[in-house]
Amino acid sequence: MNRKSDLADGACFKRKRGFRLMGLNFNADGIVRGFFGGNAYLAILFLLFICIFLFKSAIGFIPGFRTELSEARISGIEAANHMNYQLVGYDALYTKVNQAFINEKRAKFGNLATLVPIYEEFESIIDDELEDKVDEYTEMDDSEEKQAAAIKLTTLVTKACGEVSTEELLKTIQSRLPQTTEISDNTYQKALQYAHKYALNDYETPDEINEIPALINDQMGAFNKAMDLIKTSDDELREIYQEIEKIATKTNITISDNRKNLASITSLKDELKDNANDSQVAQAIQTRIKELEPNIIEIDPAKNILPIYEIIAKHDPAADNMVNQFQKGINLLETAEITTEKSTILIHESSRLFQELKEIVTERKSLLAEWKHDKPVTMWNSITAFFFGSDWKTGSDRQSLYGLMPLFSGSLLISLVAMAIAVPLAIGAAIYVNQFANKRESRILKPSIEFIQTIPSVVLGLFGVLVVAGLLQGMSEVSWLSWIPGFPIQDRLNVLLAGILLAFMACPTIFTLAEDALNNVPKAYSEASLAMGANKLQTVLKIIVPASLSGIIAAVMLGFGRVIGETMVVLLVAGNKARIPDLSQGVGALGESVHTMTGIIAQEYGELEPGVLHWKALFMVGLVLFLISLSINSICQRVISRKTS
Amino acid sequence: MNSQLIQLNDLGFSYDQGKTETIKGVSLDIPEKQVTAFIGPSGCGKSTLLRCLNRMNDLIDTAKITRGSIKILGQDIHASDVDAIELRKHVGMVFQKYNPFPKSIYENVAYGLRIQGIKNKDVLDEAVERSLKGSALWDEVKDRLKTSALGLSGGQQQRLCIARTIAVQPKVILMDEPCSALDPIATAKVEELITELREQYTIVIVTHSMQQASRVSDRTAFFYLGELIEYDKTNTIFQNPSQKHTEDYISGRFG
Repeated sequence: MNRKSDLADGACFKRKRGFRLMGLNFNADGIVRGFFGGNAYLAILFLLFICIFLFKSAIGFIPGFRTELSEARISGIEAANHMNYQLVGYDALYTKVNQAFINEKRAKFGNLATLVPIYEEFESIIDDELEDKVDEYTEMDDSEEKQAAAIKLTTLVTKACGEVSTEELLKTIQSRLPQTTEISDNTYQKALQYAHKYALNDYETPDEINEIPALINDQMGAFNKAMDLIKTSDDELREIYQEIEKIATKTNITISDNRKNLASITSLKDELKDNANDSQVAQAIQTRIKELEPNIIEIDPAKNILPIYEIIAKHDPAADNMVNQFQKGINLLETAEITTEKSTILIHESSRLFQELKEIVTERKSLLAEWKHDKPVTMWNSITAFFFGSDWKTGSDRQSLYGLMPLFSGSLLISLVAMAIAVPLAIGAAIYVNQFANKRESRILKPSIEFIQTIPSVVLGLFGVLVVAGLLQGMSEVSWLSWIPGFPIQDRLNVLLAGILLAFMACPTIFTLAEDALNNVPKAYSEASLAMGANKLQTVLKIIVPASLSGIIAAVMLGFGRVIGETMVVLLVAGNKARIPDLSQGVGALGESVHTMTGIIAQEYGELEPGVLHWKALFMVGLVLFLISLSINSICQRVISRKTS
Repeated sequence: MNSQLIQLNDLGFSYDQGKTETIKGVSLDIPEKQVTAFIGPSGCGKSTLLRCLNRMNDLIDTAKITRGSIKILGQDIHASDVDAIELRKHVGMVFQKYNPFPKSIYENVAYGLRIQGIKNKDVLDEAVERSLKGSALWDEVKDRLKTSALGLSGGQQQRLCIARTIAVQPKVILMDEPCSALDPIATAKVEELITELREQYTIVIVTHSMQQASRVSDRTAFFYLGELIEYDKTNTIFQNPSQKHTEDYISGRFG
C-alpha cells in the first residue's frame, strides 16, 4: 500500500507501538516523561528523607531529657543549680565592681603608687654603689665641708640612678604593679628627691615614703570598706552551695549509674532468654548479671535526701545576708568620691546588675521554697526546659543543660544585624544597577556582586577572624569614635562582626533577586511615569519599587533564610559562647560573643557518640532550624504568588 | 503664526549617533487646538517623530537630533536651558499599549499632581474628578476609585491613561496609536473622547488606521521612509492628495 491509501483509511493516526516490559507498556513519550518526572519527584523524596531522619534522630530527646531532669531533681542538683544561679550573678557583678575599684585606684593614686617601687630601686642602688660615699659623708663634722660634700653626694646619686634606663625601671616596677604603663617625669623627680634625702640622712627612709600606702588606703577608705563588704558577702552562700553540690552530685551519679546498670541487666536478661538452650553462653551471661547487680545502690533518703533539705533551710538567711551585705557595699560606693567617668559608668552598671541580682535571689528563693525532690517532672517541663531554657551547658561532669534560648537568640541577633546591613546595601545596589547605571557599569557591577557568592564561606570566615575582627576592635577603641553606641566592643569575636560578614554573604542573594524583581517591572510603567514629567528618582521610588515590592520582600526573606542557616562563618567569628546576649545594655549587646544554632551542631556533633542525649539534643536544634528555614521559604512563596495572582 | 503651537524645522533624527537618519529633514507646523494625525507605513518614522516632541527619545543613549529644530510655543525644546522633565509636564503622552500604574484608579490620575508636590487632598480630589469626567470615565469608576486600575477593561484602562495625562493640564497630548490594542467598541469611545478633547488640547495622534485618521483629525501628515511626503487638511489628503505616493497609500495600493 502506498502512503495515500494510508491516509485514506486513517491508519497513519494510530499510536506508534512501544515495547512491553514487566507488564508495562513503554513508548518514547512515556520514557521521557518518566525520566524528567522521576528527577522532579526525587527532590521531594529527598526532602521527605531529611524530615524523617531529623524527626527520628531528635524524637528521643524530649523523654531522655525528662529522665535527666528528674534525676537532677531527685538528687538535689536542681536545688544546687538554684543556688549556683545566684552565685553566677554575684560573680558577674563582682567583676564589674572590682574593675571600677582598680580603675579608680589607678586613676587616683597611680603616680603615688609607682613612686614607692621607683624609690626603692634607687635605695638599693645607693646601698650597692654609694655606700662608701654615704658613710664618708655621714662621718663628716665640719658643717662647711659637709655642705659642699652634700652637693657632691646628691650629684653622685642622680648620676648613679640615671644609669638605670627608663625601660629597665619600668620592667622592675611592672613586676610589682603590672598595670603600670609609664613613669611620669614628675614621679621620677620625686623619687630622686627622696633618694637624695635617704643618702643624706644616713639610710633613713623618708617619712613621706613610709606614709604612702597608708595614705592610699585612707583616701580609698569608703571604696576599700565597700570592697571588703562585697568581697565577703557571698562566702556563706558559696559554702552551703558547695556542700549541697557535693551531696547532690554524688547522688546524681549513683542514680544515673543505677539507670545504666539496670538497662544493661534488662538487656542481658533478654539475651539470656534467647540463649536459654546454650548453657555455656547462659552461664557467662548469668555471671555478668551477678557482677552488675551489686553495683546498684539504693538511694538512702536519710543519707542522700534529708541533708539537701537541711541545707536548703540554711539558704534563705545566707542569700539574704549576701544581698544585705552587698547592698551596704553598694551604698558605700555611692557615697565614695569617684573621679573618672569610666568608674562612674562601671558603678552605674553595677547598681543595675545588683537590681538584677536581687531579682534572681528573690526568684530562686521562692523556687527553692517550693522545691521537692519527689515532684514528678512532666513531659511538658522537659519541652519548656528545652525551648525556653536559658543555659546550654554540656561536656562537664555536672548535669548537662540543653536550653535553646542562648543559641536561638544568638542566631536571631546575628541575622537581624546582618539583615540591617545587607538589605539597604543590596537593594540600593540593585536599584542603582537596574535603573541608574549605564550599560558598561552594570556589566562590571552585576557579575562582581554576584561573584561574592562564590567565595567559600570558610575563606570568608578566616578573613573575618584574621582581618575584620582586628580592624573592628581597633576601630572601636579609637577615641573619636567612642560616641558610637556599643563602642568599645567587649569581645573580639562578636555579634556585630558575624553580622557584618553574613551581611556580605547575603548581599548577592538579595541583590540578584531584587534586581530580577526590578527588571520584571514592565518598561511601560517607567516610560509612562517619565512621560508624565516625573524625574528618575520619583519614577524609581513611586512606581518601580512599589511595583516590584513583593519580589523585593521575597528577596529579603530568602536572604534571611540564607543568613540564619549559615554555619561556617558564624562558627569562626561569633565567639561561640552559649549565653543570651544582655540586651538590657542596649547596643552594647552586639559586642558580645554568642553561639548559634548552626554553629553548635557543627562544633559539638563530631565529639559525640551517636544516640546519646547530647547527640539527640543537637538534632532537636537541627529540627528547629529546619522548621525556621521551611517557614521562611513558604512565606516567601506566598508573597511571590500573591504578586502573580 | 500664533496658532502654530509646534514648529518643526528641517528636523533630522538618528537612533545610532547619526550614522543613519530615521527622520530626514521634516518641516511642519502643528496648529493649536486641533487634531493632527501622522500616518504612513510601518517604519516610516512617525512614532519616532512623535517621541521627539516630548523628548522621550532622550532615554535612548545613542539617539541624537542630527539637524533642524523643534519649537513648542516658540521655544526650542532642545535648547540647553530646557529641562526634558519640565517639558514633559506640558507635553503629555498616551501610549500604544495602555499602561496604567499598578495602583488604584485614584492614584493613577493623581500621580502627575503628586510628583509635582501637590498634597492637598481637596485639590487632588477635584483634579481626579475633573480628569475622569474629561475622559468620560467618571460614571463608570466613581464608586471604585480606590480599587486597582488593572481591574478595568482595556478600553477603560486606555481612557484612564488619557485621564492621567490630562490631569496635569498639558498643552499638547501626544497619542501613539492609542487604539491599536482595543476592540472596535472601545476604539469608538476613545475616538469620541479625542474629538471632545480637541476643544481644550492640541492633539497629535499616530495611527495606522486610515479611517481613524479621517474620522478624528483636522490635519494629516503622510510620512514615507522618514520623509514628510504630504501635509494638509485631512479632507484634502483623503479626497484630493497632491502626491501619487499618498494616494497609493490611502487607497491601499501599498503599505
